[in-house]
Amino acid sequence: MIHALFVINRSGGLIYSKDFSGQVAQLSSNEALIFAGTFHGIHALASRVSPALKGRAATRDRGVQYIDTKGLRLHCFQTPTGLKFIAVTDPLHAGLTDVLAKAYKLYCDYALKNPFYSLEMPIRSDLFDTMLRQLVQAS
Amino acid sequence: MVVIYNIYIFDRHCECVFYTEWNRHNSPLAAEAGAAHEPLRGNLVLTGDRDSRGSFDSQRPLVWPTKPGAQQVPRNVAMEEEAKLVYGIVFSTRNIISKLAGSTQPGNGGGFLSLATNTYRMHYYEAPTGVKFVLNTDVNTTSMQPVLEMIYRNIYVEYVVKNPLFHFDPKVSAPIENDYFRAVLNNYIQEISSSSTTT
Repeated sequence: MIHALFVINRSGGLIYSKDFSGQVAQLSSNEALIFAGTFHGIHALASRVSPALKGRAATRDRGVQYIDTKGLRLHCFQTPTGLKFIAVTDPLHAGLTDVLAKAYKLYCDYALKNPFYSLEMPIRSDLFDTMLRQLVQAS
Repeated sequence: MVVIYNIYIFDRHCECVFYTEWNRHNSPLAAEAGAAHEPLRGNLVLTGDRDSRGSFDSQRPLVWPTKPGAQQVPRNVAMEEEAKLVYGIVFSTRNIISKLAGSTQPGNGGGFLSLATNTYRMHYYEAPTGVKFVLNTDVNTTSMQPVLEMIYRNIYVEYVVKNPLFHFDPKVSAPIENDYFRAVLNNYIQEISSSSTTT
């Protein structure tokens, strides 16, 4: 069950947030922006303090993938272009990479290919909303 | 098989009062230690002697901070910086998780447990007194909460807090310099690392 979904742009700004179940706390728009910015920072820091890397950048740490808490699990999928898709689910929910990759595809189709969409700006598209809702319900 | 990389203990003042590592390959501590042995012009980046540190018995684990008051010990800036970054990560994560869980309690109200990247997993435990334990393991280790609670309850409290020489001043943070604490913690971690059942 996916409770909520956030999309964060390359510079840590929130460009999309949607609540699907109403089971997680409703963030005000200000709080959601803080969440996005903080997550962006954590993601960058986490890849810098990795204790597991041998030598210099032999294998790169790609930042946060999961955050586990008592009642929730956050999944993060980073696209090659630096966009981050974050899904909030129940704890111990299996990997969501494929679902988030599909959400990325929807973003490409319904936001990027829209000639009126400007990069790095909030996504306002009814079609993207509906397709995303279908994706979440199907998963 | 659990691979445990390192542990950080932070007190209520956000200071790292204890750090030690076991299987680490890119440590700022080791870079500093290597610098002491090699001529200054030498290449300070990780050299081969590092691999000899693989097993627990070959050498004592590196610890940090070494001596709090000693002026002659040079500050290890890289290590200080890393400790601050780690504190930043757990502190911010804890806060956004509390927000997301709608918790209004102070401390770890949202129940932040761990954070995983593709190379390691960071486990977090916050004691009721505000002492924070951060343990880094390999990615596949799912829950270290019982281990961290055990470290707090049976090692930290027993060997650090119950030490009559432990001078608790709420305004100042002091590094943990207790050799018994180090030894017991080291044994415990060794035990966990070698047992394959704990995951």
